[in-house]
Amino acid sequence: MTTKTLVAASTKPLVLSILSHGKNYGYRIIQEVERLSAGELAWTDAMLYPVLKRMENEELIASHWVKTESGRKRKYYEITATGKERLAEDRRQWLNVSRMFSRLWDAEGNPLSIAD
Amino acid sequence: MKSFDVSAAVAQWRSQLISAGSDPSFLEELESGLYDRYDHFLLSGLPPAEAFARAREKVGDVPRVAVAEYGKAARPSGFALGYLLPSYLKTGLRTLRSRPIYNLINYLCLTIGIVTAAIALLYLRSELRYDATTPNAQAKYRLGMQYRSQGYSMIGFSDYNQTDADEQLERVRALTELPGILTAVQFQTFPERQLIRLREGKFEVENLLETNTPAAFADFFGYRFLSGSATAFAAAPNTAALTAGEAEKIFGPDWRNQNIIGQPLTIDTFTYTIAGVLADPAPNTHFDFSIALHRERIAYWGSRLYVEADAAQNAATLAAAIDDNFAKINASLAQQDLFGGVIVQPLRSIHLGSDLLYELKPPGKPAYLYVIGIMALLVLLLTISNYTNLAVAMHTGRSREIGMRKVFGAGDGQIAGQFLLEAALLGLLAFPLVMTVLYFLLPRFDALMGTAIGEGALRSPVVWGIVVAATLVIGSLAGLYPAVYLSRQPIIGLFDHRMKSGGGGAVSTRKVIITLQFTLLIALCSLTLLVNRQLNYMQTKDLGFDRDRVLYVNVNADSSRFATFREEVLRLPSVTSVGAGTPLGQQDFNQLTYKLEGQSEVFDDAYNVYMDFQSLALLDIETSIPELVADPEQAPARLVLINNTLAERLKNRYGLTDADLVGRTIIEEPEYTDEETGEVGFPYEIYGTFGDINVFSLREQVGPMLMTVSRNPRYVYWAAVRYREDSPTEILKDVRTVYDGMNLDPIFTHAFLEANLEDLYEDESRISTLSTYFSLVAFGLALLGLIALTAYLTTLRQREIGIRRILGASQWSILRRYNGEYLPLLAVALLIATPLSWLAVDEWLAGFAYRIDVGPWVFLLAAGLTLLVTVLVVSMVTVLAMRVLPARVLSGE
Repeated sequence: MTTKTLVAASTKPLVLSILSHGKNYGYRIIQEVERLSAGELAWTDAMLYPVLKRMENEELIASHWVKTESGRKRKYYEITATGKERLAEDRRQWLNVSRMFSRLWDAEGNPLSIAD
Repeated sequence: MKSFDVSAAVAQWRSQLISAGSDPSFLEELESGLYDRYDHFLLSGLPPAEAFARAREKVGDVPRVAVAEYGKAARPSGFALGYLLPSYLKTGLRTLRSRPIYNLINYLCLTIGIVTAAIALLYLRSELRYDATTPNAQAKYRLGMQYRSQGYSMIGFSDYNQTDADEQLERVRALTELPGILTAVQFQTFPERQLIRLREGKFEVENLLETNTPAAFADFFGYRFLSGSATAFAAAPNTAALTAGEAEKIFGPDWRNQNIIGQPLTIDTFTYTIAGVLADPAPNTHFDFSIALHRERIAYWGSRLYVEADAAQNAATLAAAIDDNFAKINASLAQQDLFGGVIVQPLRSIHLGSDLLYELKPPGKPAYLYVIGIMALLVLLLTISNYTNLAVAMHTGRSREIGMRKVFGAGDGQIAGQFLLEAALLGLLAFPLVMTVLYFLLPRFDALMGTAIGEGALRSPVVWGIVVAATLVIGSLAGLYPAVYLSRQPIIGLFDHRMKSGGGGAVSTRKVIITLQFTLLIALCSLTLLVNRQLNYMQTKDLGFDRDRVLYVNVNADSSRFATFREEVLRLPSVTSVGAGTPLGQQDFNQLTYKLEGQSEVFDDAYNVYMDFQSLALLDIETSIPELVADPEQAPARLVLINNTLAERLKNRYGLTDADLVGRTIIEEPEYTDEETGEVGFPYEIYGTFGDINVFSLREQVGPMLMTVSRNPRYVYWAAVRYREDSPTEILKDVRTVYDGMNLDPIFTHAFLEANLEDLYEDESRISTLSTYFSLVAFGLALLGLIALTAYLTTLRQREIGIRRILGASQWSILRRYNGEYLPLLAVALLIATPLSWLAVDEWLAGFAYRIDVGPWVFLLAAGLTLLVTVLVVSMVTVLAMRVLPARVLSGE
């Protein structure tokens, strides 16, 4: 299980990354996250939609309603230019952290020597 | 088996969400997500009900999580008001338009409330800012003196009227030499009318001022010269500085172009040179004048003395310092036993805090500030409670709107903001009407109260500020309760159609507010009734003399000229008698010391009045010598009577009877000894007694009084003329013709006794008029509020009325039922209002030596009036509602 803090920190970059592949809707985003984390991250709708709302307010993403074949409405989200800028910055930071960890641990999590 | 209805399941899920009190602004997103999950589980082969249960579970614990998350998501910090304001405004305007009549009533009530508050604020401000325009006012003081048992607003010169110029100035110099005193000035004002000659014309002026410290005088009070200069005014004696108002009166509005500086101006036998024109002194200063004259010597027995002290001083330290050195200021006064020290009054405290003799202007009464403040507050409370009541009632019709807004994510604060904005909007819309009403009302208020707050008020930024502030504050206060009340309603309750639209429970807010309104009405109404009764009592009470149809004329003539005047006036067909003597109905004047011969005790509280026998007869004053009053020829040339109060005092003190008292000698001013004859004081034989008369206002108890009655007074200042039922103007004209024909005093001054008495109660009369207006406004407001509220509630209860009528209730029983709801509230209001108003009135009446008794009936009458008005309004509105056919009411929503 991933800690709350990590979930909170990673939610926005994850949403932005997923949306950078093309527009998407809430349920599919949750599924993508579950699939990519191999079930480690299980977002609920109740947690996701407020985040999406906040990101919309920050103009990182944009949304619009689409009527599906079944006649129901579905809200699609897409990344905005500001969102892309933010994603680039987030990516740089996360990769930095990731690179640090990969120098500290091997794939199984065993410590590596940090002397160069 | 019944098939699973996913739509119904979603609807149920949604309503659970709402009733749990959550505010999901993304209800639609959640719903769409729920469907997606449901589809997913269906495809994976689960039966519909289970698929829905799983989907619902996966969507999450919406109420709890969503509320917490929502808080962060829905309110972009700082921007909310900015982007919500236009929609608030739009909704606000739409609401105002949707119920025009009720909103109009709220609008009018708000306007009345704001106007009342603004006038009260302006009045209080003007009263509290008396003398504030004087530079460095907080360091300036006026000096008065304690003499006998009275306080005087001036200090006598060492040799009274005979004091020479140097001696008069000496005390100013002596004062400035005291440590801590920076400057000292003195002047005297002469309120009586005088004739001035200028160029070829003659003008009557009043309120002349004489000073022999001209430079310091102009500087001390900060007078600004519009033309000429303070230097020219101070450079040489016998110069005059006119106020701009007086210059305009004498020279016309274009006085600036007339080269008036340097022109001669004659008053009496003195000629002055005009040295300047001053900007008119502010209206709220404790004295005013028309022309300031620079003279070497002030022609009076004393002067008004003012000092400016350094910051280390206060009234007490100054009084101590001056008392210690008083011999340098007035050596003869310092030695007198009757002199009780100086009275030092901070300049700013004079208007509301002085009760000294010969005050320059009638001082303000702090009690009246409270009265006006409290009355305005009552009207304001009525305004606010009216608005609250009607707004809450009207907005219950908007509960679904509020519910929808909440469902779509509006927070309590936003809902409250909407209602507050609507109230403020109404207030803002009232603003132009408020200013228009003020424009017409302020001059009338000034005329009634003798104030000058209307002068240029609408051009003053301060006034605009006060009105804008009053508008916003009152608008917001009025909207506060409805805003908080409505925004706090739980969502589920807002969709419940039966929401408190009827009479409500045992103690609803509406009932509390109506009770409060009733309380205010009863209080205001009873206060007005009592104030008016006291005024009426004062105006009709037996004062010990006949007040009707007496005209006083200043004759300033010796006995022979007065005799001629009397003869001539008596020839007028409508005149019945003419006498001479002290006019009655006066402001308090100085008292005298006296003692009974053979006794050592000296009293210091007697008033002395002078009359001839004709005056005594025409005023119908009761005396122990009626035969002499009827036939003065039998009387001695002069005799002294004492009033019953004084007679009682002497009898009780020395164990005398009425008979003992007659023939005893009373000595006035025993502290004075004639250096030539060695006689102590002025001895008079008590010839008899007279009934107590109220020479002054009924605020004061009748004190000991001596009356000197002469057969032929040697000099007559005032003649008293009694006339028949003719019009006063006719009499005045006829008497004036005689007066002018005899070349008496160049200025004809007159006063009707009744007018004199009315003047004594000017303040009371103003307060009485004002409280009547306030009460009328309050009743009008309460009435409007009650009509609107009852009308609105009745429309909500029309179905109830319809059902009652179908079930056989008579009109009478419905009327009784609806009116009956208000009775308990009125009873509670009566219980609250009575003790409070009783206390307030008792406090006010304590200021009168002669006053009415306060009985419970006044409060019952006030409650009765309130009840009557309520019943009329409620019945009228209910009858109107009953006229609608029950079938029509019940057939539709």
